[in-house]
Amino acid sequence: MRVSRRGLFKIIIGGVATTAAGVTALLLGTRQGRTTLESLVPAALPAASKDITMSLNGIEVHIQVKANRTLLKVIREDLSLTGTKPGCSNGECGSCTVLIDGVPVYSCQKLAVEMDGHQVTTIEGVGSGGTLSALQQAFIDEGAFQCGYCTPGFILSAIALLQSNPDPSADDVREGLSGNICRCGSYPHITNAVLSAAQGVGSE
Amino acid sequence: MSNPVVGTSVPDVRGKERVTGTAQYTIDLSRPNMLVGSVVRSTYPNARILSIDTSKAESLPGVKAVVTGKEVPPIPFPPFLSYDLRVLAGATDSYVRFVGDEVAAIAAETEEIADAAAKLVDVQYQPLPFTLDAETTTQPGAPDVESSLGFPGNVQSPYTPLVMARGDVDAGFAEADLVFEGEYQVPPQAAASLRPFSCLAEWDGPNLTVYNDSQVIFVRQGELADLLGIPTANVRVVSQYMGGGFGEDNLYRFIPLAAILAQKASRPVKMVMPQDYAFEGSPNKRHAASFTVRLGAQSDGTITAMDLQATYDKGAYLAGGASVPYVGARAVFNGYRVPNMRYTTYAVFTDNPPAGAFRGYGGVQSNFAVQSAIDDLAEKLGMDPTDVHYMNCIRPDDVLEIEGEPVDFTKVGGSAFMEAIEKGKDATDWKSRWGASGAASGSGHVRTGLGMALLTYGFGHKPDTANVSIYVRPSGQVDVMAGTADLGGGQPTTISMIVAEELGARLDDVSVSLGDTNLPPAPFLGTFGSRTTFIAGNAAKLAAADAKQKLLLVAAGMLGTTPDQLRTSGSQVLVNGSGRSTSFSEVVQGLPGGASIEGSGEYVHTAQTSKSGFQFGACFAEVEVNQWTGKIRVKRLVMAQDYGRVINPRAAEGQMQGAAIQGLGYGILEDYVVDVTTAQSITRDWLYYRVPTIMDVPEMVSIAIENPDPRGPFGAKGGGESMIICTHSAIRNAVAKAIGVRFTSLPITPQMVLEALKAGGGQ
Amino acid sequence: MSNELPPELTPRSIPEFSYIAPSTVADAISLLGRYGSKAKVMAGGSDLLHLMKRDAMSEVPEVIVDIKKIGEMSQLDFDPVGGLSMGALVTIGEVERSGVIAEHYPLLSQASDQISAPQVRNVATVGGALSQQVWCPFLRNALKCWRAGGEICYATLEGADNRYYHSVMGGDDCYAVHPSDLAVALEALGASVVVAGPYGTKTMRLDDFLPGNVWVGNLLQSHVLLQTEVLTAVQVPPPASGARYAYLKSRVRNALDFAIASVAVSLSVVEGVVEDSRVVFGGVAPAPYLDLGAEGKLNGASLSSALPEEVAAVALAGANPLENNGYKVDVAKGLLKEAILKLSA
Repeated sequence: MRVSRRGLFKIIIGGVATTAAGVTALLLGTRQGRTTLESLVPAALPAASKDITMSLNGIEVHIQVKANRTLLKVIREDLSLTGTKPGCSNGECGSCTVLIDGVPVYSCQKLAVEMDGHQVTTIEGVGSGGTLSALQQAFIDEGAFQCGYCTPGFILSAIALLQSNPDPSADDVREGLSGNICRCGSYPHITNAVLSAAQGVGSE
Repeated sequence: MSNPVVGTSVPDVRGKERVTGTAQYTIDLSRPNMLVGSVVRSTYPNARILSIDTSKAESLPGVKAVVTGKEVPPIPFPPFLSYDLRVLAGATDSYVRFVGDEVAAIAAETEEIADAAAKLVDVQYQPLPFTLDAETTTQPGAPDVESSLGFPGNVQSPYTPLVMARGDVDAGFAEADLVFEGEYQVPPQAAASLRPFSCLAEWDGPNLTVYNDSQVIFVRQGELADLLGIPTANVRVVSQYMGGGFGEDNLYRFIPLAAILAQKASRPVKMVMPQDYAFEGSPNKRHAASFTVRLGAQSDGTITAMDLQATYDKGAYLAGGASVPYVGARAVFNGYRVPNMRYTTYAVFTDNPPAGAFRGYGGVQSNFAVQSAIDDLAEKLGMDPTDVHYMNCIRPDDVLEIEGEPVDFTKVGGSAFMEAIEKGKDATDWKSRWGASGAASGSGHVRTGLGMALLTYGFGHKPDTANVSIYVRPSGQVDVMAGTADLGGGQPTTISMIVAEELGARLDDVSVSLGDTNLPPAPFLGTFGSRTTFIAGNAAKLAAADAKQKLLLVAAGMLGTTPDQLRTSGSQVLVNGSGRSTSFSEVVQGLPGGASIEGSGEYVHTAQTSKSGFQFGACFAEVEVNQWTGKIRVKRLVMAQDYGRVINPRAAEGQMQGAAIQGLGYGILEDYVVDVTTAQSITRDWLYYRVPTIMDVPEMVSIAIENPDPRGPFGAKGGGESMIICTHSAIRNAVAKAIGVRFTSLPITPQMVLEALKAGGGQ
Repeated sequence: MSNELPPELTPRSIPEFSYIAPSTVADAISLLGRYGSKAKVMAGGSDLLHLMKRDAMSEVPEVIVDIKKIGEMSQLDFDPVGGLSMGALVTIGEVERSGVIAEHYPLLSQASDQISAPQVRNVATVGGALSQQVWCPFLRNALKCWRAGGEICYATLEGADNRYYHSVMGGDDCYAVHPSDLAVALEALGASVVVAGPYGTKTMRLDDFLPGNVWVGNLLQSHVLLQTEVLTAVQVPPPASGARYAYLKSRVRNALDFAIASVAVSLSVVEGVVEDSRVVFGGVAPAPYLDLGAEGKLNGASLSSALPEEVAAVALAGANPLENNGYKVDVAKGLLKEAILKLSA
């Protein structure tokens, strides 16, 4: 343990021990004054919901969404597509990766309302009619997952990678997938799977 | 036999569901009319609850049920592994003991309402002194963590001190030419699986069904029944797909809370915990620990005495009992033939979030201490560490006293340490490269180092029983019922392969049903501790043998011969010495009334077997250390492990790699930090808590050794925990060789490297 | 006794808000004026949504003004005379992939592909990178410090873990470092920014835009944008011919992490002598740290094997580390040495 904790028996009474004053100040609210004009003439707020139209896995979807709902939540809860997974839900792990206009994005860090006029691809849009894509098959063949929770996110990232670079080196693959975490540690097999898919069909 | 299955790299039998996103993890489930739950958790590390006012929460529109400690059973939960956790603070006493301790629970129409209601629950706390320091927590005057629950002085007593010994350490030290002493420390490690902890509870009259990602469904079934005061038969626990399972899901209170809320509201309740729960929640982290190691050695490297003292920080609760320290002790005895050994463990309490079970528990910690100490000893002796390990590790034909009982290693397939060391040395060209490590490479300020550590551990800890049922259907499908979990370690695939091989069925015809307490327990305690292949695999093999015997009996009648003239292969029954054959489905269709052929197998994992499961292996690491920036890069890992018999090579390789990557994280990346002022963890997400990314993965070479364990299915032994036991130690030793600094704590950070070099450490 | 610590550990739901997406700068400014402190600009969203989910803001916005539809802010233009003009909505991914930037401003290419994750680079914008909030773990774990309406810095308390995200060059109320690699590289290139407000537009140097800790109204920010202003473009002068560039970043993991320290170095070398240089450090101060001492040592010096050490010796003069982060100075100096070595080859 690098940070010394010896003998630090702290008591929290009335707030954090060394900052009682600071916390009390917080409770009282010592902020600088605001402009008065705005508070006298409140403006009507824009809508908190919006009708949006997006293309989801090739299908045009019209839906009304509240502005504070992320794309991830709308996909999973309102549209019942549970293939895209919530991991950290803070844009730090990649489990929720979808393609927006072909480009990989963390869907937990996008509001659904931003999707108006855009194309979204989720794992449900990969492969066609029950037939696995070459990449999906490569994942199975190479054992590129253990628990499988991160797998949809990796597949979407890999699709975009192969689209822009159909003949990647192993280093290219790793850099392209650097935004996807696999806690089970299937990384070497994942790299093999993407390289194998690249050598096979070429692109999705 | 023709078309062998065992030993081939079979793709995961549930792979399609995973790559299409159709696998339903608990968090994907929903029910009509379902409510969503939230939990109010303490932000204080130690406090008395003075009052809880839920009136504002209860009157929020959309809130359907609220419970506090007063409304839940006032008994410890779960009773199996823990004596002092309870479903909510206030149930048995009025304390919260760690940041994140659960205080109240709410079920509402939507997540937003449930969260808003949680904010409206007004809890008045009287904060109390707290301690986060395991080293001082047992000293007089330290804040009291556990006395109200029966552990005064913050020591887990009488369960510890736990002493494991062999021979006479004092005599051993007297024989030594050199006595080496070192102190080592390891931090907590968060399992940090990506999937949020969640469950769905629904009642149907008196019957409760709970869906959750669980490795221990039968234990959970019993726990819930006990807690709720209902018959076990009324409780069903289902866990079809798990998003990660490294032992961390074994002790959760939000699950009975969901059941209690569902009962109160008469509607299904889905509970999804916030993402920080993986870091700040119920017992789910590796115990931090500190060690003092004394080694007595002769100048030729023979270790005459080994004496360790270990202190494990349990955090605020006993959860998990003394299991972790015990396993840590056994891990050391499972490695060395040193005649005089003593291992004394204490477990202490602090107000840190409670520690629990995480892959390799107990052993990861003791491994760091012992593997570092032996490496440090080798340096003092002027010897190659591989030679010191080679001299002192358990030999294939050793008979040694462990826990007072003789263990004959020839009966468990022999010990593979020497073989692992030799293979690791070959694959790293150790003989010519080790001596030169440390020499500058490239630009001169980057130094390389080779180091290694042994994997010493057990498997199949705790006696257990597994039952498997097999049905050969008229269609020819072979249905295997095995209530094990699929946590990604390939368990259903392994079981399918064992059944296919034993029965002589086509692998494609075998289908495994698992993850449901309606199925036979396989095994009862659960899927952890590297036990599934061994325990459930043995039961599956017995069930397959039983089904085969019955199949052949029926087939013999149909074919006009005797069973001893028949064999099976590829789902066919073949008559020896003739071209005649019939398919499984034809045989079964010959039975009256559409019946299936049923086989069952029970494997009892005795106390004796559970104490004599051994893992043998070694990890060799090659690192580069940048002396200007302190950055450590692991360039290559060579891993050798004895699987007894490799059932599925690609799956085994995946497990080794994954475990090594977790070990690499523990060694140099992951750093679980609790802020000393607020007692809150500031590393409670995947950005600040640094789990390895794909860019952190070195070149990896996996070497599977096969010394069959006669007690395992086809000779297989347990091995899932694998390289997490020793990778961090191998990296530490490689860094020591690279820059001459012998770190005694983890993770090894750039700060530590630079400060050590500045302080004059190194070459 | 009442509760003084945050009532919950990690909120899940994003508070409700109104949403509007104007398509011109003028409309955006007008909206910001109309809604005042209730409104916040959103570009890529990766910073704003993280702050909102983690309860790390002193004022939770009630109106979000999504500026991504403003086409004029998405352009990337270069000409050899005027230099580079990037609309504030140009994404980091676009910078990473731009051939024009690779050819003329390799420092930006080198910096951009080390930022965060590909998924983040695809949405995060140049403007957002410059004006983002700090990534101090105390702030981002809902503790109410100076940046979130409190009056405390948790990182400077005794025993606090300030190893990674806090300044070695002093602070002012807040000690968190500015997190952006792009800002460091742009600073080394002498960039300016264009800001639009109710008054029209103005241009200012990047280091004037990013002073580090500055109170704007009742908000402690790293940048000087008023609530009624929008950062619209970043301009970079034409590159010096023959200059050599290196952007080096050291972090714990090999992806995703912020820099423990980073350095942007540009050298103009003629016949083995450094004619001009820029040295800017990241990860060590509340704003990109322009190291005049290092530049002074470099300018006029002959490339030699001793030079890296000599320059490093005078770099980060006056460093004033916190309890646990002094090593950052060594990391920064180490990177500087590596950069000079690399550019001397």
